[in-house]
Amino acid sequence: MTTATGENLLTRNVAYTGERISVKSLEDGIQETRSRQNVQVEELKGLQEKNVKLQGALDEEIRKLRKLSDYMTTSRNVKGVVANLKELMSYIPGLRSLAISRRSIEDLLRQQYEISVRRVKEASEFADKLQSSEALLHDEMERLNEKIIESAKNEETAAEYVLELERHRAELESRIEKAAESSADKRELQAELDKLKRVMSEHSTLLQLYSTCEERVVRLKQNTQRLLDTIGNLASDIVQYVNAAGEKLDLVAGQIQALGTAADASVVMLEMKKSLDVMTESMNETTRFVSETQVFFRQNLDNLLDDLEIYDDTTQKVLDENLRLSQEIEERRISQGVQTAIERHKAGGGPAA
Amino acid sequence: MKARIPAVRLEEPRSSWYVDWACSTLGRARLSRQYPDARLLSAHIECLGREFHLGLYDGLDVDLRSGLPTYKEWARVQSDHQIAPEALARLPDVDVLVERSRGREGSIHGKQLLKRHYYQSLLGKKLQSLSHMEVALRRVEPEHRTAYFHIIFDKLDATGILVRYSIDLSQRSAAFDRAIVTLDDDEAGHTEALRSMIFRFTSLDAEMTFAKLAVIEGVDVERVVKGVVGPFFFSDMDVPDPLQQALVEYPDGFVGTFALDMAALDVASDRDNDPLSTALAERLSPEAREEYQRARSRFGYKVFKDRKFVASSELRPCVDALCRGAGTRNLILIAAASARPR
Repeated sequence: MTTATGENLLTRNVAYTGERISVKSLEDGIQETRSRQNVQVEELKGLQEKNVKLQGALDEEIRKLRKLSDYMTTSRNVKGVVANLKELMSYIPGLRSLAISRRSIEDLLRQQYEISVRRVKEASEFADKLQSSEALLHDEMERLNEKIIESAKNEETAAEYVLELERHRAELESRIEKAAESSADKRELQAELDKLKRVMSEHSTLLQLYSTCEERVVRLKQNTQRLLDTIGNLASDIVQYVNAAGEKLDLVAGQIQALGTAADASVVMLEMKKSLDVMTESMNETTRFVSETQVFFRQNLDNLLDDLEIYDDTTQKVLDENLRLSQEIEERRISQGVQTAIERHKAGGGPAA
Repeated sequence: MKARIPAVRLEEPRSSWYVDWACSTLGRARLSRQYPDARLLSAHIECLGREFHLGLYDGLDVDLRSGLPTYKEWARVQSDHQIAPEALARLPDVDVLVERSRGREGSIHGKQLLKRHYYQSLLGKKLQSLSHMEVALRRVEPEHRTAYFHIIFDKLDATGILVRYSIDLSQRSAAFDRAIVTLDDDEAGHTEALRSMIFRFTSLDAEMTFAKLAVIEGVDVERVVKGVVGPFFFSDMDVPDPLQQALVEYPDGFVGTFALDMAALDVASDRDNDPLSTALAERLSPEAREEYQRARSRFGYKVFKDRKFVASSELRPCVDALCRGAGTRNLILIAAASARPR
């Protein structure tokens, strides 16, 4: 007959949270998180490529705007400007042979403005993409934190239960020692001890798994945090740049419309120079961002990939080590069982049931 | 010179009210091919409304000179339309975005979901071009070595109104080395010189454009028609009396105006039926005006100006009074009222 404490303790439904953990589920869970990280790094690579394309397009725009602005600065009169602008028309599609005049300057500015707006829009879409990646990484961090907390709580629950079992084991062993040899009482206590060992083994394994899980998820989280920091910095920068560029372009739009109605040639030239300068400034804002992010990508992405690869190996080693230890423990347990059976047999107590 | 144009930012619900009225006015105006395409214009303006862009943009800037959206607004929709296919290809699927944004509508995923819907709707739209020229060959007279062309040029003018120039002219083959129109295997095209010239003329009237084109050697002009959408009047603007007073009384009122300015050889007599027109010739010096008169006699064209109105019902009497005051008889149509609060 099981002791009252034993009955209560050994049949207890221990309240672990989350899905039941096993070596396999732990491995699967870690691999799943690693896969998600790989996808995130792949996305970063895609963003890097987009960044390179944007940089090329913006460089081209800046080159045109700078040249236009330079001509406006160096030309001393309207005729000079007009003559110089003829060459520049070749930069803008459809205007190759345009006869230059005050009003066709408006046409030129409008076409350049519309290209600039498109470029800034593309940069803005890029900013959204970065912000989306950042938000997804925050979600991932939340998932990992939940997993860490869950594992930590389960680890505590398992440890408390195992300690309780350990205390009861000591008590049972003491009572077994005191009980009369081959008595029914002793047999019952022994049976309870066997049952306790089985329960203890099960929850010791869980304790070990939860502890391992917590430790490894914490390490995964560190990598996700690095990805998050990288993306977060970029997203924050580009939003500022795009906003600044957008504001400048708004100013240009008003100037171009006002310019179209101007009658006096010298005023037109002055205003055109102003519009070009602001437009160049706007494109510069965006280009500066793209250039900086490219450096950032170059410095961070490769390191990030290297680190993830190193972590892959480490993870694999931890998994292999865990499996090896699990097998050893299992073998030791079997060997202990066999040893007990042999001892019992020698003592004439019959085979261990 | 003012570096900026006078503009007002309409916030919700005023911007939606404006979009409803502008689209309804364009729909009622029954514009002929001599005006910018009302359907394209209406589609373009609809895209500026909150219902279409789903709140992705704040407010709507309207040019107070024309009562139409500012250049920035027209250009914004145009560039969104251009980048829509690529943007859509880069955005996650709707299902993914719905899942990601569930319970977090203000998040970046929520914004991306709105953008996906917005870009998707934009894909199916045909918009008004802000500057576009087309040249069609009407006929060729080999015996006179002359080709006849029809030119259409649409532009958002610097004054904020939308303009369509329709020009019928002929060009003799001897003049093709200095051509303004090109003809290659019956394919007609415009030279950049013509585009540049017309681009500059959009702020002028049809008569002056006729005279400017007619002096080009080898070119005979038959007709220049300038169809104009705008200005649109509503209470945020300075408008001519008696409309100004009426808009104080009826701040929800709206009036769209659509002018037609024609200089042509087949117009029987000069007639100005536009109560809002201040003919360019009237603003010229006596010497310049004399020059204008000489051009009329030399090229034999006559000028006809007209304007039709689309007004909210309560403003109709004021528009009537405006026309009577100017001694004109104009078509005044009633626009369907917007049910939206202003």
